[in-house]
Formats: sequence, structure tokens, C-alpha cells
Amino acid sequence: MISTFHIQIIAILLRIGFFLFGLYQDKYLPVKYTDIDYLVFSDAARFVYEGQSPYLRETYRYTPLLSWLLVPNSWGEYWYSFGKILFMISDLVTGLFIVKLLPRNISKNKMLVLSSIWLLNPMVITISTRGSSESVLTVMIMASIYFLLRRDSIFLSAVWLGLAIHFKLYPIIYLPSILLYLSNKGKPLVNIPLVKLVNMKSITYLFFTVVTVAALNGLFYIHYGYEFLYHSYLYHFIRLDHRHNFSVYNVCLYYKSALAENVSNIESFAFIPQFLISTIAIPLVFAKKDLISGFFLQTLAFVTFNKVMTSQYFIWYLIFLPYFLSRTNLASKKHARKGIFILLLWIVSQGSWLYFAFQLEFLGKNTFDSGLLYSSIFFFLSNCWIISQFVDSICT
Amino acid sequence: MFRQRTTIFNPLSTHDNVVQKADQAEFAVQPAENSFFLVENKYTVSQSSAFSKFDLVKQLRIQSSDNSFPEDRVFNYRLSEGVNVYVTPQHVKTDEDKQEFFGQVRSLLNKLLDIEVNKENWTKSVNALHFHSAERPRLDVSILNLEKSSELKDSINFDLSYNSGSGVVFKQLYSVDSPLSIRKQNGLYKEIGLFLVDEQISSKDDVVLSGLRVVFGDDQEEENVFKTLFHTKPRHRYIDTGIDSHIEENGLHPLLHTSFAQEVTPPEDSDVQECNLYYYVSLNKSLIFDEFQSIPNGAKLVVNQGSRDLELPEYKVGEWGNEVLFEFANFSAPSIDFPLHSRYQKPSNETDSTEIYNSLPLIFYGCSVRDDYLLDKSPFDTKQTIGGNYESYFTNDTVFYHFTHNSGSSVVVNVPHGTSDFDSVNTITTIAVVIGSAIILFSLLKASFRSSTLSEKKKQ
Repeated sequence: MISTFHIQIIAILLRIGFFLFGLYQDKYLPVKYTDIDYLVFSDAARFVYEGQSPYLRETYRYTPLLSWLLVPNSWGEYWYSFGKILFMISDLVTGLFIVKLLPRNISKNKMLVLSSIWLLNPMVITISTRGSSESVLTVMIMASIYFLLRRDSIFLSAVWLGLAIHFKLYPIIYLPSILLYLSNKGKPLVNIPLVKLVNMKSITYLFFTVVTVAALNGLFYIHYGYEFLYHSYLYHFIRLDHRHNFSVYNVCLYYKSALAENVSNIESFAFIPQFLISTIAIPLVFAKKDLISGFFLQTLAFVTFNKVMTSQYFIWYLIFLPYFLSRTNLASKKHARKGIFILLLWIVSQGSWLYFAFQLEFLGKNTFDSGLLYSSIFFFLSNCWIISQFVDSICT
Repeated sequence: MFRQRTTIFNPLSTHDNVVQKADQAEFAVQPAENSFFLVENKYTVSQSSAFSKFDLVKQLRIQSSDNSFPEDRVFNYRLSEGVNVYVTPQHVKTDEDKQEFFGQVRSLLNKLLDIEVNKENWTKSVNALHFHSAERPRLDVSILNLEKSSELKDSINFDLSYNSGSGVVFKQLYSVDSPLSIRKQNGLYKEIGLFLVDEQISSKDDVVLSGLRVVFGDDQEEENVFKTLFHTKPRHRYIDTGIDSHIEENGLHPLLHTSFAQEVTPPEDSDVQECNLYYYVSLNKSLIFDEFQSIPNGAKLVVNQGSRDLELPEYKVGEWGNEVLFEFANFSAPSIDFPLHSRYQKPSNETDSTEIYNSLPLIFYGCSVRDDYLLDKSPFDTKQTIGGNYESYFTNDTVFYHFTHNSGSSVVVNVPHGTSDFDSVNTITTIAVVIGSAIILFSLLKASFRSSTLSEKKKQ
């Protein structure tokens, strides 16, 4: 009989296999396996190793914490792969958290299938073995949820969430959900409508999250000054991502970037639907009902409405997918057709965009107007419809 | 007033039947059948009123080349094809002075070359600011007041040096395959040389030029034609191995491929001490050089001047582009691949791609030599404190052994761009976002309504 332990062993072996193949591909094949971002992290870590700022590396737009973590990459020879191994371990630990957070009442077979969605997922394995740091973030997020839901530790959960927010800002969208969730878990401080949602637990949670974020940001601000704030945070608000990516706003951003004057357009207000849906509406409906499914929908909506979207962002919501599938009726036999249709729609709409992106990127064909624009809209609307179906599937 | 020195280089091994006339008033020469002369006019203007308005400009050097004289063994116009401008300021202390300086330079280049070069377009080079364009703007020589010279041509190959202390030196190179006559002109000092390389006693490190020197001037002596023979130790030397460069298209990631016609080995002339192979290229700002990932195999990056931004579209980059120099130790490969990335181009509904012209790379051995003090004794030496592209990055004891491109003068990269307009794209995107938001909000409202109905039922 296969158990989750066996799945974990296979997951480790698969990661080692992918990692070794990556080393081979990098050495012998013209197209390299290692992600460009890994080179950026490694260069930034080298600057840190030499006592300099990681921001000397062009396009390093992350917390210095990441470059500090990867300093061993600069110790020479085999140490260069240290970061990849760290990402692979983080990716496995994320998988363990996913398993721990699955409902306890599901069948063993379902448990195996759901844990495999992350642990044996070639996309997940490829992303971490190519050297993307997303798995470090996913460990932080999942640890935060684990300590909140399985250990009832407000302090540890808040610290992990604070760390995650420092690491990549977007996990801040989980805070309203958690505070709403906690509003049921303690005695209200004041019995006035709305204000009665506040209790000692939610205040404590908010306090430790804010303190963790502030402490880390303060530390790095003292160390690196304004360039830390600019590259880690401010840049992401002012950037004009004109280079093609999945986002529905992308082609519009390209055209906007070419205008002589700065004009207000739909992209200027992109944060409104994104904020309204992922940070207010979904938490209001799901925080008390099903926190982790709510996280899944929040993240999926956040990524769908984001001004930048690459395939690495899919990892952000994939960590919640196994749990969500344990709760949705789309995984049941009765609704299996719909579930398969949703999966196919996601794949086909994404594939249509990839087709036009390939034409542009590697064949040099102009696909901005008829290809990328409409395929990104197709992908966006597909995602929106899929979110609506997911909402329905949890609530019926 | 100015002085003129015209050097006529005869590429053949004899001057027989070349000189048609050489007297007090005229020097006439005719190239042999199917042959030609390379002619360099050098004008020295001690005081030029044309530059007096530009008092914040200390030095200016404009070098333009189309690299069309591979046979040139005497003059050196081997530069990134197009125009190269170098400038240094003087008396610039405040920010206002700086603005004024860049304003003066813009105005000066506008007059001379009819181009607009703004403050943000410059990059740094050794001792000077640098601007390059692969296009070939024509120099308006009228500003130099040299029109009195009958030999003055409209040539694409020129080298103009201005120094606020010493005036202007203007050199131009061109070829002629028809008879050439230079006459005495009153009020103008002309020195004309006709030379060929005496192959029997020349080597690459010691080029012996023999021929005639003719002087025309107001106080010229009765004897104005002199036989001449002199040695030069050239800074620029040539390797017979041809090279070919072209772009291998790969969408937004073109590859600049250069192959050598045969195996390359370092020069072994008697004065040579140590050599390395170098690869110099002036990159158009539409092309991105990623210094972290795109260094050719076996190379070390020596110089990367210009924009370091790896993401900006072409229309957001101020600098003209990048000046890149690689060094190869113990080079033995048959080719060099330089991976590039193209920047996004401005949308336009006229075409669906932009043609980017880029100068060919200059590939050479840089060698340290003995008796380097002889290098700048050559009347044809080009090394100055500013300018010369790659020249300025090397010490004075360096000589350059150039590989010559077999064909072509530049490479072309096609970069696709959008052909629609902002308003229509914005409208389409807005409609999509509104529909998408409505789909989700409607489902959430429905879910919320269903939940409250359910909880009410439970209460009942």
C-alpha cells in the first residue's frame, strides 16, 4: 500500500532527479535549465558575501534576507547550488504543511491524491529546482496557517505571516481574513456593531505581525537605507511592466509606457477591483466559513487582477489547491465534468497566450495587438469565471 | 588662417608614371590603371572663430568612419561605423554651468552635424563624454572656414579635434581613382606628400614610406619638391585573416555571431611583447547587453559604458547605447557569439517592426610593444587624450592588430512592435476588467445571500 510517506520519498527522489538533470542541461545544452532569477539572487548574494549591497545587482528587487540566505552560493564550486537545495527543501516542507492542513476526515486515497498535487507536481518541482525562491515564501505562509489552525499559536502564526509580508508584501491580503476569523475566537472588547469584531486575539495577532514586519524592515533600512525600500517595495508600485506577461493589463501598460505624458487609465485603477475582491469581498464571505479555501480564492483573485503575472505566481495559489479540492464539490463524481472543464479552460486559455508569447519572443513576430491582447483577456475572463465557479462550489 | 597637409598614399609598389607634374605651381598625379589613391587632407586651424561662442567646451573630437578602406596601412579610421563624438568641459562649477555646457554642446553638434544630442544621451568614456550613432551624419565643413582649400571634400571619413587652447585639427580621408591635381593657392600653406610602402625594407612594425614631398606657400623656396623616405612604427596594424559578422535571429534574443576565416594566432612581430584578443562593439540602445549573463565564452568584460537597465523599453533609455569591450586570453575558438536582447520599441501603425542598425564589432589583438616612444612620433598616429573608441582604453605602449570584415558595414536587427493605439487597447482592457469583476462579485453576492438564508433557516 502506498502511504503519504512513500509520496514524500518519491517527491524527494524526483527533486533530486530534476536537480541533477538541471546540472547536466546547464553544462551541455544550449538552452539553460537554471532560472534567470537564480543568477540574479546568486549575484546579489555574492555582493553581500563581499560586504556590499545586494542592490548593486541590476534587477534584484527582493528583500536582502533572500540574498543573505544565499550567501553560501558564493563559497565556490558545488556551493553554487546551495540556493536550489534550500528552495527544494522549502518546497518539500511546504508539501508537508499542505498534508498537515488537509482535513483529517478525508479518505487515505484522497489524501494521497491531494498531497501529490503539490509534492509530485512537475511544475512545482521545476520551479524550485530551476532556482526560483517562491518556495521559501510558501513555507512562511503555510507555517503561519499551520500555527494558527493546528497549534492555536497566535504568536508564531503572526510572526510567520509578518515574515512572509516582509518577504513579498502580497501575503498582507491574508491579514483581513485572519482577523475576521479570529473575531469569532474570543470575547469582544466592546459590544458595538463592527467594533465587536475586535478581541484580544485579533489585536495580539495584528500587533505581532506588525512588529515582525516593522522589525525586519527597520533592520534592513538601517543597513541598506532607501535603496532597500525602493527596490523591495516602492519599485513594485511605480514599475511599468511593459514586457509581455499573462496580466490582462500588460498590453495596455506597453502602450501606456510609450505615451509622452502620464495619463490615467484602467491600469491606474487596477488596485481597486484587486483590493475590493481579494482583500474585502472574499474575506467577508469566507473567513469565518472556510479560511483556507478563502485564502485560495483570495490569492487566485489577487493574481488574476495583478498588473504582472508570470507562471511563478501560480505557485502562490497552488499551495491552497489541495485543501480547496478537499472541500469543493467540483472534485466529486457528480460535478467531475465541470471540474474537468474548468481545468481544461485554464490550460487552454493559458496555452493560447503562451502560443502568441512564443511567436513574439522567439520568432520575432508582432503579436501584441491581435494575439497577446485578446489571449490575455481570454485567460483573465477564464480565471474570473473559474473563481465564480469555485465560489459556487464551496457554498452549495 | 590654416595650414594644409595632403598625404596621397599609393597602394602599389612603384610611383612610375604616377607623377604627371611637379613644379612651383602644381602637383599632379594619376593612379595606375585599375588602381587608386588614398588621400588624407589634414587642416590645422590655430584660431577658429567658429568655436569662440562655445567657451565651456574644452575639447571636442568628432570621428566618423564607414570602415571602407581595408587597404589602409597608413591612416587609421578603424572605428565603430558611424559617428563618434567626445567632449570635455571647462569652467564648469555649478549646476547652471553644467546645463549651459550641455546646451552649448547640443548647439555645436546641431550646427556641425545636424543632430540633436541632449544631456541624457551621453555616456562616459576615458577622460570624456561619449556619443555614438551608427548613422552617418554629414559634417557641415563650412563652419570651419576651410572652403578656400580646393582639396576639401565631403567625406564620411573624418576626424575633427578641437582644443580650446590650440585650435582645430581636421582630417578627412577619401579615395580617388582619377587624376588628382593640387595647385598653389595664395595665402595658403600646403604640404603634399606622395608615398608608397617600400615593401622590401618594411615590416609590420616598421613601415618605410618613400616618395615625394611638395610644399606650396607664400614664402616657398625655389626648390619645393623633395624626395622623401621615412620610417613609421604604426600603432594600427592588420591581420590577413578575414572575419564575418551577422545576426542570428532568435526573436527578442538576437545573437551577434562573428566567425574567423581561419585559425587565429597572436602576432609575432619583433617588437611585440604580450597580446590578448579584444572585441569592441558600440551597441545601439535598442539592444541590451546583460553583463551578468551574456559575456561570450572565454571572455572577460573590460568595459561596459552606457545604460545598465535591463528592462526599460528603447524609448525610455536616455543614453545612445553601450560601449562594450571584452578581453580574451589565449583565444583559439573559430567564432565569437555575443548574446543580446532587444528592447521594446515604440508602437507605430506604419510597420510592425523596427529595423535597428548596429555597427559591426571591432576585433583586434592588443599588444604591448618595445620602443613604444616611437609610436606617437608617427605623423599618422591617431591616439589622443580623448576619443578613438577602443584606443582610449589602452596604454600608450599598445598596438592594435585588426581583423577585417569581409563584407558589410553594419548588422540589422528587426524588433517587432505594436501597431494599435493606446485608446483602443485601454477601452478593450477596461471592458474586460469590468466584466471579470462583475462575474466574481456576482458570485460572491450570491454566495453571501445563500449563506445568510441558510443561517436564518438554521435559526428558525
